[in-house]
Amino acid sequence: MDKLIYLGEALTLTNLMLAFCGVAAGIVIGALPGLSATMAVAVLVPFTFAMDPASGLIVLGAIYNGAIYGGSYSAILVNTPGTPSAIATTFDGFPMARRGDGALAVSLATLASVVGGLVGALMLMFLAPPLAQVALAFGPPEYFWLAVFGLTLISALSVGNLLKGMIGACLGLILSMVGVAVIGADVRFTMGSQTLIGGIDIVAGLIGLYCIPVLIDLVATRDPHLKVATNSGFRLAESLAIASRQKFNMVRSAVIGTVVGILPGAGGSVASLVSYAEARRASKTPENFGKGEPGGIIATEAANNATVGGGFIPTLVLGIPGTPPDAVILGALFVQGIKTGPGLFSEQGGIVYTFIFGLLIGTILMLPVGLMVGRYAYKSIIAIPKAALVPTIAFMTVVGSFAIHNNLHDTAVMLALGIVGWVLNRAGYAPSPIVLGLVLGQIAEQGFVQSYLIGNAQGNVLGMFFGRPISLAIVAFAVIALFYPIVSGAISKRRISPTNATVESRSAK
Amino acid sequence: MQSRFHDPAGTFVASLFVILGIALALETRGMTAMGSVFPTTISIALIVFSAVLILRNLVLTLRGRGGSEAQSDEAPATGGSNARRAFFVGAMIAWIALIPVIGFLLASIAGYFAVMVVAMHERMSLKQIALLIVLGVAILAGFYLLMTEVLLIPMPRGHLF
Amino acid sequence: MKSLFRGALLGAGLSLAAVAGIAQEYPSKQVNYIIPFNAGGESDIAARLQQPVFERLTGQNMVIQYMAGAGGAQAWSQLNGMEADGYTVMGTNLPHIILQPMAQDVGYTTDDISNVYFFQYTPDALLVPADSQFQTLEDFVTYATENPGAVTVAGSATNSANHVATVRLNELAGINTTYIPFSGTAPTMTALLGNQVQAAFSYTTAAIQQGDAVRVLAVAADERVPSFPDVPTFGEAGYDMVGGAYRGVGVPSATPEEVRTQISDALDAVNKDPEFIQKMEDGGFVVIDVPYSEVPSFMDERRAEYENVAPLMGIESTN
Repeated sequence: MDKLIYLGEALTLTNLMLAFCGVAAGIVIGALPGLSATMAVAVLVPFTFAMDPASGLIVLGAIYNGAIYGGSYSAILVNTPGTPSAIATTFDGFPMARRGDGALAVSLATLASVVGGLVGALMLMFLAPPLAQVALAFGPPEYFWLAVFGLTLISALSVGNLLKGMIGACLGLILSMVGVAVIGADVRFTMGSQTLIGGIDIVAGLIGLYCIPVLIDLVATRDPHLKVATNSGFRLAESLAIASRQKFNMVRSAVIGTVVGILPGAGGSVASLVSYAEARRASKTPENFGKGEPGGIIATEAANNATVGGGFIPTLVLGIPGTPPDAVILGALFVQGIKTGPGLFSEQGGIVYTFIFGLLIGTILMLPVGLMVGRYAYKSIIAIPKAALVPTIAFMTVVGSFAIHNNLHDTAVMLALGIVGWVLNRAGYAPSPIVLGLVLGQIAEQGFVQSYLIGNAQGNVLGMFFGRPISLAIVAFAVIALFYPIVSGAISKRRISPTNATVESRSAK
Repeated sequence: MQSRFHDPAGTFVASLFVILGIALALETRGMTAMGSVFPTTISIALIVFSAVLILRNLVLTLRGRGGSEAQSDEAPATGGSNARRAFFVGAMIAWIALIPVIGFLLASIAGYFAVMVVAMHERMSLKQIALLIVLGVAILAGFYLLMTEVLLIPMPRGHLF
Repeated sequence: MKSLFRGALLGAGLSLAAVAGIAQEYPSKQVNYIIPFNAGGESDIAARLQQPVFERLTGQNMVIQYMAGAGGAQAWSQLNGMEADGYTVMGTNLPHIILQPMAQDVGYTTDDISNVYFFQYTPDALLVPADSQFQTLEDFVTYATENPGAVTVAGSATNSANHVATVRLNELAGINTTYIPFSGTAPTMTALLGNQVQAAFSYTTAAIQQGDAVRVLAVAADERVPSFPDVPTFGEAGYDMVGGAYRGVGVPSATPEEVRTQISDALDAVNKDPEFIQKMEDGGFVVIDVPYSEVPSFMDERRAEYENVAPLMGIESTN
């Protein structure tokens, strides 16, 4: 196999060291909400000019991989996804950490991330050109239906509270429309404020809606933040056992992650939400999802790290960046004098394959680095007294929301949403449907209006939405995901108690 | 707390959402066709869902199922000191409001220690307090340097300094 | 460490020195260059090409920072509140800084932005997929004339340079195409390559990235673009259309005149560097030299042009 020559090139001591440092730095940056993979990659780009192109790319790939994985730490330990890709990690990760299974959750996230990353990178290596065609087959209607599919998770997340879930989702969708519209350029729902003209940033929303309410309740009592685990350590054997039981889920999620990662404009958040919805539907115990089900973490983390490899497929094959960090890397390649685009794989095969091997090495390094850093992070979160933990997390929310766009507007929006989110949660409106609406709103709206415009120009609006095979397949999955939990929920309800539905869904914990 | 009404908080919020939905739906009238399709649809959906929720809660109340409704699975811990909650929120608002005035670093030092006081539940010895202060300063300085020197983020400076 | 120390030591002292007009070399310290977009876009790439040349010629660091939001408006509306000593400069883009304030209240007006230099532009390019039925611009116009409204043209956002280009071509050729706005260049190109739309208006830079997968029908430049020697200009086809996205550098309004000229001179030296020009042209950029003294007339020209198109795009001038 001729590609193996490049493995040797990637495996130099310098490159290994670079990949190691890259992964570690990426994990730290990813774990801090607001500090994104894009930012880490952009900052590093000037340094890579001093390196040879392959080494430079290896560091960038390692940082990127580490950052996506690092997002799971804050999701598990403080209920705040470090990156939008880790939103669904909070659903099960934080409940697990609360009941004292934080170490197990971190280990599971690590295993799933490594497997996801490997699947993504291997698909990049062997299937890139055909898979790039998938990106092209997805038009506006497919993006619209994909977003709708993501929104069906609301029904799963709010069993017994569906109405409030739907109301929350509407609120999230409205929040996603604030600012200047991409299509039509209308200034919408800014209440005359220039602060809001740039819209509500997803990350600011995540930090606000997930983290501020946790802090508000954390200061109110003297109870510790997380239940202290009785047994310490990685709980690696236990995680391996769970992971091997969930191997099908893991691989399926990684494949979903790769494929969704290929789509420019979808990204890790959509990939992980879709995998989560699929994992829940396929699970034998869907009622445990959202209450600390290991399968949920596995699905999310396998999917989001697979998007790293997936995102590079259009980047390297078509010259279209699959994700924002890919855009920065593509720019770096250009500045380095490497011609990107369709000819890259054939003309610059050496650099491309060295890079992919570098990505694989970086992914594998995530296992030891991640377990070490993860354990340290978990221990310090438990050990640190509340009087230091709360202000530190509060400081992170301020810094993180500022760093998104180097702008205080986002910080103000973050805090405002956090306070509103706390009040709403008190009234029974959970934050996750709001977040889903916020994350998926733009994709859904743009896909819908673009489909309509194109359909109108072609004189076939209905055909645009319902006449395309991929669209129909996504619609079918969405319908199954939507009605499956309702139907199975209704069946189990009848089995347990015929009376009060709402109380019972709570006691099902 | 024996409230007669079913889910009073949820119903109250839903009625606010109905008003919000109406206001937003009215605002969409000034937009282009392309820009208003989605906002109009979603505003109306918000009104409808909220109205149905209010109606359902009314019916449940009439059937005598009073009391507050279950909270979501993500529901936070109830109880605890509401004064502390209020102080925390106040400290956060002041923190962010002060950044443009006295600069990021000073505002964060003030905000950090204000939040620390709010979060402190135990009596601490002087040594412990000193330790916390050192830890806090180290965290603040470390992150500030990470931001300015490594990530090259332009941190806001104050007008006063 | 250095800049922390400086921040603590009141930056005011330094800016006082600048205001006092002490004739000093510019630059004498690190220059912060704020890009009002995300990393990885055309503005960022061009800045990253300027950066090493600037550092080589002046011996001072140039630090690129990002402040994305609202298509650049978030950063531009804060420009005048920044330190006005010439060491904080910001990328400015046309038509953005003209069309945005024209269309709505975005927190700044075109006159609020003090441009000191325009250094490059990316000409509009009409692209079709490689397997498209349109071989030439004429094919495209003929088909669009016969099928009014049926030709879909993708581009990045509403009221953008791509949108302006589509509207102008419609006007000049007397055709009616349907403009489909996407959220950026990447989704636009994906839709084009996937044949979701029949054509796209983008820039020469994007056309280079896609290589053989797309065909460029025409470019909106004065003369043929070096990286596309075989592609005619719109002018050659009889449409008087020159435009694209122009990129320059602006400073806070309180920046002294003398410093503005110094910045303009420094950027001019970068623009004259043969290696820089070569790399820019390889990327599809067209290097232009508009120094500080020529900025007013350049801006007037552009403004007149966009004011003509604005009503066609449905922008009602608010002032």
